Amino acid sequence: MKLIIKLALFLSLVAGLSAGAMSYVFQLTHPIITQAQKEAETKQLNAIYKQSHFQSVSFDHKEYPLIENIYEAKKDEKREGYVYKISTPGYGGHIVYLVALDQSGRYLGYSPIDVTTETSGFGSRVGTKEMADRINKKQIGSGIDTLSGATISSKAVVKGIEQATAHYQKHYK
Amino acid sequence: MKKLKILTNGIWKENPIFVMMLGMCSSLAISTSLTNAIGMGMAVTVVLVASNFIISLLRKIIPDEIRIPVFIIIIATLVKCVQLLMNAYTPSLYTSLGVFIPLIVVNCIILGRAESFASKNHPFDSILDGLGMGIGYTLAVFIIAFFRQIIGTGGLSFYNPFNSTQVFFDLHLFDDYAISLFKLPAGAFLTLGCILAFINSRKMKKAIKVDENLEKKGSVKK
Repeated sequence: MKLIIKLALFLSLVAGLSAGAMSYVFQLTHPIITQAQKEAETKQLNAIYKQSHFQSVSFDHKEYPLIENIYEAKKDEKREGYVYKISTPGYGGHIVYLVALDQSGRYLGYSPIDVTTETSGFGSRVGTKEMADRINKKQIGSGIDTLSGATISSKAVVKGIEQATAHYQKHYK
Repeated sequence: MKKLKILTNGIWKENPIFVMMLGMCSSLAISTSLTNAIGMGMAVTVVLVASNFIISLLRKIIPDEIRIPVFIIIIATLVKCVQLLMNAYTPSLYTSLGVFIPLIVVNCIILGRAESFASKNHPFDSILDGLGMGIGYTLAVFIIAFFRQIIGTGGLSFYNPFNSTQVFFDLHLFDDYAISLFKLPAGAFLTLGCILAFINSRKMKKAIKVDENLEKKGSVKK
């Protein structure tokens, strides 16, 4: 009995120490990580609309579960378009990407953020120019072709775009 | 001399992947490019050296009955710290290695070295052992990644793991003839199998020669 208590105490001591070490490292790195994520996102937004000002728009997440965020892009008080951040379930996890629905009535600037969960060499092709070419400059609302050989992943991407389109046409058209 | 032997033991004689066959899961999964291989190798080496050092320092305090749980707590803490640091300072490497960073926790090489070496030896020797094993792991993954990248993508590229914009070289040799099977886990098994077959055939030849030499000596004595 005495031995069990001694062992339990030792184990909890080690666990406590390790929790302390981890929280220290977490506090050290957390601001850097969130900062880097924010910077990466603004960098991608700026790649779609240069010199624009971006503002988050609120929306009904229950009605549009695949949409993670919507940014309104304004340049000199003039609306240029809306950038949708989509997180859609693909083959191995969630595919995250940005796509802009431009005032000109076309899709613009499809840019993948996270395709690491898709099979390398097959599903991961939705993160390449091949997929972007099928989306960019297409008329909003027109069908988008999937990639053969990456059917599940590209279908997931198209599903997300369809949801963004539905939201766009209901609210901004 | 003995210290040097501890260091080189992990690099060749007891190479964790080619000889001991430990830590297969992560090494087969991430060996798709040279950059990944070096990045993962460094992460594993850092965790291995640190865990070997800490466990060896505590080897006389840790009660024998609960040594495995204590080892695992120490290793898990180190891996989590490395993961957070990588996420903060090497985000590109972090995204390309993905789920395999947290999986270093269950990499048998680390627990194996803690149990069989660090818990029985001095801290300095344990650091050397961790370093040797880490280099051995990196080397093995690098060799597998070399063949997989050439066959799977038709080229060879190497970026700075800490900064993906710094490209050391990016060769496109025969892009049209790439076999994408080699980018998948099945291709990793094929590659590893061929490398092991090669190493074992060399070893067997050596062993046969030694046997023959012994026989000759034996016959002279008779």
